[in-house]
Parts: sequence; structure tokens; C-alpha cells
Amino acid sequence: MKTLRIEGLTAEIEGKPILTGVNLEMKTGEIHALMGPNGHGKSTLANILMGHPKYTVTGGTITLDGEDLLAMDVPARSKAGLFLAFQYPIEIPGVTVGKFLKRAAEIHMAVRGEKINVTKFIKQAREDMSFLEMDHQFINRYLNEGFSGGEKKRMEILQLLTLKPSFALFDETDSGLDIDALKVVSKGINRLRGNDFGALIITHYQRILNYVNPDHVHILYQGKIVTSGGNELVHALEEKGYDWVKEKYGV
Amino acid sequence: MTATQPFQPALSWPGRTNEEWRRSSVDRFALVTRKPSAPAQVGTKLLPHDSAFSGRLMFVDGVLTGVDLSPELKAQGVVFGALTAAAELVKAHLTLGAAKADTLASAGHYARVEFGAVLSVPARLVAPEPFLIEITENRKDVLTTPHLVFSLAEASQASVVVRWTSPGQKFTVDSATSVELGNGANFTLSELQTQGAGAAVLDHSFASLGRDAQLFHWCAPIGGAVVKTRFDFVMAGEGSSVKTHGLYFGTEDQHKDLRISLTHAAPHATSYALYKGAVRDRSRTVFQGLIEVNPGANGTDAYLSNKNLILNDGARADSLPQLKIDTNDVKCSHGSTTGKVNEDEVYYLTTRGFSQAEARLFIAQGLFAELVDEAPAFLRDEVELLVACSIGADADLGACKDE
Repeated sequence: MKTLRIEGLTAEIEGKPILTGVNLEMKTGEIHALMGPNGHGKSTLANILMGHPKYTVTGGTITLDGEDLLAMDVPARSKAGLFLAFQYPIEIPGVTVGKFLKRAAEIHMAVRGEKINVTKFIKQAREDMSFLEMDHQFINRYLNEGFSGGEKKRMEILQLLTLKPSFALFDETDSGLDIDALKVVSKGINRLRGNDFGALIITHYQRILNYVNPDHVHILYQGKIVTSGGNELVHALEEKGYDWVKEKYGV
Repeated sequence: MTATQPFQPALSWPGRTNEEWRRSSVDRFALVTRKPSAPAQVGTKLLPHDSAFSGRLMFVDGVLTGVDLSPELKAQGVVFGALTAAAELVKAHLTLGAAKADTLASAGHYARVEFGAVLSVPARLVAPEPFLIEITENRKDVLTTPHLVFSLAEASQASVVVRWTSPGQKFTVDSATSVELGNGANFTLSELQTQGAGAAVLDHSFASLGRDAQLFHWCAPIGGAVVKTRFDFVMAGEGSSVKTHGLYFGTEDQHKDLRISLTHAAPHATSYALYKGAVRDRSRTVFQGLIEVNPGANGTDAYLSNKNLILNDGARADSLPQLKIDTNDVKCSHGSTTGKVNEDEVYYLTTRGFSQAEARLFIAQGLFAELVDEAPAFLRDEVELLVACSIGADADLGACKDE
């Protein structure tokens, strides 16, 4: 079991404070949902965990299995087992999905002292693509270039299945998805669900949580987690909306 | 082999007021100080036929050292050899070229033409495999003047791959290629230039297309210390089309100035130009691209694109696309972008475990992928490696040659 621990995290972007003291502990085997109104720091938290250079951490600590995550550069965090599914996956012209995926897999296997077996890798990638209802021709397309919103999100999940991280952060993966794509994406997340996998599902809506049931639910408001609980919180939000949060926890 | 020059006004050396030469000094080519080379006395060897090619010509130090031509193609009238193999045709091309020369820098070539190759393909003949021409120069401090002539008669089809190499000594190559495509001819010309670090490369090439003729030109000027090339494409026949694609790099102190012009002289011709470059260290590149649409060239469809990647501060890439349109009924556009590697793309790859350096290399390589894919099949791996070595100084690339 691994633990991702955030304590007293404060952060800003271009001098503007966004996170004002986040405390959160996640263990592998657990699915956490992070909900909250837009503009209160949900995506910021995901990007700070991954190490986006645009954000500045001004206080607090983050540890992954006791290791200081903030001291690691971005690729080191990835190799340590952290994965971020982007809200808006980036297009990389001229780099094929196959070339990218193979190299990413190779980098992660090297961490475990393994060498890539190309035949096995291709077979696995094809199986994963079938599982995610993706055309196998995607392997020859340039990464995310000209992909629809749903195809980009499936591509993120394909990477998730390939890299098998210890902790995955899903940054509004559900936004802009139709119900079929949402089901496929959820199926991908659920496939990894188990003792070696933990996830933080960041979302504004409860919809994805109907398919990926969270063990813990947190509400991030004005830069901090104001309340945590179980599925009942999701239902409370569904019924009362975020105004309820504002009334109860707003400053 | 020198052309008879028709009367023309006295030419001068191009100076900084000449737009084409404004960013590259003619002095850097040492056209006056370097002595024209005297060809070494070496015999030509008949090479055994390699069925991967329609024919091969190997030039070393200005001498044709190896010749290979498919016996079937030879029997069908294909001429492929030294310039003397088709003296009348070559003379006509040289005379035409000399008449176009607008400065002493381009006229000198025609006064000195020293060696070269000619390919003549008869009407309706299709040469299935590429013709390969390798031009290697080992001599120091010389000025060499090779000329290449490619003439395809009506409805014929052929492809030529030209490789320019030298080990690194200082010398100047003042080359020119002239291409003449008959009606409905289809020609692919691929040029890979991997001259060594001491080469000064001056090239001024010309292609004329007949009705419905098609030309695909692909070039990768990778090497050389200072490079100035010019390729003028003239779509003289109705419905003709030119596609010219180039990938070029600046490393260390390289200076490259590439100019293309696409002249639509007849109706319904199409041209598509795509040039991509990357510069690093203290290098500089210049791309000048001109689309010119003559009066009466209705239905012209032309597109010109130039993309440049600046890999570090201190390197510079200039992009100068230009349109000159004298007809109303045309579809013409050009695009030019110059910038650094997109940091969002770098971040994305690093979140997947790529190091910064490898992420940057991947992204830069991606920019050139479509052009690498168009390289002649037997050169593709080499071109891919050349691209990686040209842009990825920071990445682990043990296979790159030391320069």
C-alpha cells in the first residue's frame, strides 16, 4: 500500500493565491472524488501534484510514500507512479500514438528494471484499444491531433492502462463527454481499481461518480477542503447545488 | 562544355542592395579567391547493375568514377551519364541558364561548368526505380562547378535522388540543376545534402514544366558552413503542378539562405511549397519564398508555408514569404510561423516520464515527421537520424557523428 499525503498546502499562480491550506491523504486501493465549484482550486491541486511550472507552492508538504514529491521534477513524479489525465490533452503534431506510447512504456519499465518486448507491447496496446472501443488505426495517428474530445479522453485512459500508475489524478475527465464516452472512460478507470491503484477524480458534476463509485468525497471551496465524507455528499450536492456549500462554508 | 553566351549587359557581383543577397554576403563563397578545380585523371568504372535503382552515377572529386544503367532502360533510349552523354541537350540547357543569370554569382557557373550528370527520358517511358547520383568532394580549397540536367519527354516518369557529400574540408561548390518536363511528364527530385563543416554551397536551380506535368521536389540541406540556394520553378504549361518540400537545420555557426520562387505562367497550375527549419547554437537560416502569378494564369492554386523552430536564444531564423499576383482568378495563400518549442507540449510529455531534453527532441522531431516520411525509402532511416542529430544536441544520441 502506498500513501499520497498533502499537508497544509498553499499555492499561487502569478502572485494570486489559489490554495489556502489543503490537507488530504490518499491510499492505494481508494478512490477519492474532489468536487467543488469552478475556480476554487480543483485543477490547480492536480497540476501542483504533477508539478506544472506555472504554479508556485508557497507552503505545506506533499509526500508520496514518505518521499518529498515537491522536490521531484515532473518526469520523476511520473516515474514514481503519479499520473495526470488532462482536462485538455495536448496535441503533439508529428509524434505518432504508437511511438509516444512505446517510449512512455519503455521509460516506466526501465524504472522497474524491465526491458520492453515490442511484440508484447503492441499486442497489449491493441487489447487496451479494443477495451476502450478505439480503432486500432489510432496507433498511427499523431498524438491527439485532430482527435474529438471523446477520443482525446480515451487516449488519456489508454495511457493510464499502459503506464499503470499507483495514483491517478483525473482532471475533469468527464467534462464534455457524451454518455457513451463517459461509460468507456469509467470502464477504464474501474479496470485498474484494486489494491495497487488509487485515484483522485476531480469533477464538477456527480455524473461520472455514478459509474466510478468513490470511497471518499471531498469538497474544495475557496482553496481548501471544507468537508469530506462518503457518497452522501455527492447526493447532497446533487439536491442542493453548490449554493449550499457557499452558505455553510463561505467566508 | 561552356555555353555560348548571348549578348547581355555587363553583370556585377550581388551586393547588399540585391534583395536576394541582402542576408548572405557573396564574399563568403570565395568565388574569386578559390581556384577552379582541375579534374583528377581517374577512369570511369562500369558498376554492376543494382536492380534497386534504374541507374547510378558516382562522382568523386569532379570525376565520374562509377556508372550503372539498367540495360532495359538503355535499350529503350534512356540516357544517363556524364554531361557529354547528351552534349546537344546539355548545351541547350546551359545556354538557357546563362541567359537567366542576373549577377556574376550565377553567371560564373556557366562560364566554368566542369562536370555533371544528364538524364534524358524518352516519351511515355516509365522508369520504375530511382536514379541515384552521388557527388563526393575531397579536395581542399577548390571551387567546383557541377551541373545536372534532367529532361523528361512527354508523359514519361522518373525519379532522381542526388546526394552531396564531403568530409569537412574547406571548398566551394557552385552547382546548378536544370529540369525540363514535357507535357504530362512526372518527375520526383530528392536532394540530400550532407556536406562537411567546411563547405560553402551555392546553388541556383531551375525547373520548367509543360502542360499537366508534375514535379515533386524534396530537399534536405543539412550540411555545409554557408549555404545559399535558389530554385526557380516555372509552371509554363496549363494544369502543371509543383510540390516542393524542404527540411533544413542550422547548427553551430551554419548560415543557410534558401530561396524558392514559384511562377504560375499558365492557367490552372497548382503549387504547394512546405519548408520547415530548426536552428540552434549560433546558426542562422533565411527562407525566401515567392509565389508569382503572371497575367492570364487564371485558376492558379498556390500555397506556401514556412515553419521555423528556434531551439535556443542566439539562433535566428528569418522567414520571408512573398506573393506577386497579376491575375484576379486565383487561390493563393502563404503562412509562416517561427517560434520555440511549445511548453505545454513539453509539460505533457514530461508528465509521462519523458525528460525535458527528450520531450523537446520528440516535439521537434514531430515537426519534421511528415517531411522525413517523404524521403526516398532507402534514405529514410538516415534522414531520421540526421534530423535527430541536427536538433537534439542535449539528448542522448550516441549515433550522431562528431562534427
